Amino acid sequence: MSSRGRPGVGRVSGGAPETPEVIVPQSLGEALQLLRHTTDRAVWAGGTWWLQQPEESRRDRQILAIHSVRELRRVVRTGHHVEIGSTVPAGRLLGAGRRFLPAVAVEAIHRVGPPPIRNIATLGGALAIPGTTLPVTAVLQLIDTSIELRRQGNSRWMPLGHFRDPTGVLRIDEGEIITRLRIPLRTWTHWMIHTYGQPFPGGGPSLTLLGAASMDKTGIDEFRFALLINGERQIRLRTAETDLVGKAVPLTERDRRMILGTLEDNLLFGSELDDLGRWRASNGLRGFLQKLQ
Amino acid sequence: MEVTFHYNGRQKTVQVVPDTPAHEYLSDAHGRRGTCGDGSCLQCTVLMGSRVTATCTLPAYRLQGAEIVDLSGLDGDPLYFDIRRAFEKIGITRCGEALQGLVFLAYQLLGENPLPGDEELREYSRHMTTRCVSRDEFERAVRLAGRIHKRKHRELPR
Repeated sequence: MSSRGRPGVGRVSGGAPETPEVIVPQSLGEALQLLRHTTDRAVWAGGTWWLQQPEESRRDRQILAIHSVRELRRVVRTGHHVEIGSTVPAGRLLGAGRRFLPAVAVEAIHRVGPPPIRNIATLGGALAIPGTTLPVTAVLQLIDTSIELRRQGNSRWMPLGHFRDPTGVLRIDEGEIITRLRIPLRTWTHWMIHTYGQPFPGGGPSLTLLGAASMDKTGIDEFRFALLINGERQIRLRTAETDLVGKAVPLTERDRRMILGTLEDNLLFGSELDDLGRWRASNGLRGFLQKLQ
Repeated sequence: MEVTFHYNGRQKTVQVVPDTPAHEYLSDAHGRRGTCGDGSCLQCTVLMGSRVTATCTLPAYRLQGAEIVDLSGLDGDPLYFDIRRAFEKIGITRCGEALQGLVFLAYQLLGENPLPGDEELREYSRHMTTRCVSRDEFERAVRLAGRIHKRKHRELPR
């Protein structure tokens, strides 16, 4: 092992051949430079998800551990949004962000895990889990979160909803890392997160129902509803969401039938859900619509 | 790789495989391995810095430079003393394996807010999967510990 003289700083390399090399950059510039030169490195933020994977899947890899990068541990709040560094532990975010983050986001962050996990796990890590969408990711997507991807000499923002292609593959280029999340600060007067089953990788069948709406004096100002099936497939009712904006509450029976019909049409294509799952989805949406008063 | 960290105030240097769980290197007299592998059983929890951490999901390389404290490292801490007292009164000390994790949860919670509200308490207890204590008992014990600690350490009127 070589180091730069003080604990937690610099590079640490493996001794035995099977031991992965771990590099711990202290600044974003250093991390991006390292990624530029060796793009096949695994980037670990909290590392909680990786440790729950089979040992074979994480052997013989180089690890770029970005938990110490100062620039990625900042939380900045402006009038319209909050920018969260990708390696801010979820637990710290709950402590500091509870006052200004939308309540639905706070609830989603709670679902990252129990406090001993939340103190290590990061939102950036949760977004980048290959092949799996966690409820927190789906909620952040629902409330229009965007993410910043950076590589050396270049940065780009993209809506979180575009981060995965329809097959679940991450749209991240070589040498890029997620650096910031931007969550719009708007008030969602009504919201719902309801999970059936265990929504984590390897947890078996699961269904998560997500809803968020903001109301004004005249009626519905914004409406969002999504389903997350088995942590893999997301269904958003975009047409119905648009149609409901501006409607007065309580909704008419026709409006309710319209949105429930849209949901049922979408579910017809979802072979992952059985009859009970479909009933739960319809019932969850019906309950959420009833709450909009 | 070699990592150096402080364990209950003492410097410790160990050889670790960096992508393995940290609890494998803390499992001496006080470290516990845990059984769940995802942090929910609370058996392998320690305080890292001042935050309760499940060492089964903590990569070993993150021990470098860390301050790790287990229950024996809290001996003499007034808040820990009050938590123990409250836990004994409610009867939570019967939780042999998970006790360390429960104490640390209470310690972090009361460290942030000596008199936590119902919502804060629920945020800590809602994920508890241990069967030796109910959520209600845990919440009562934390409330009691907070009251004891606050009463003992409130400033006297001048």
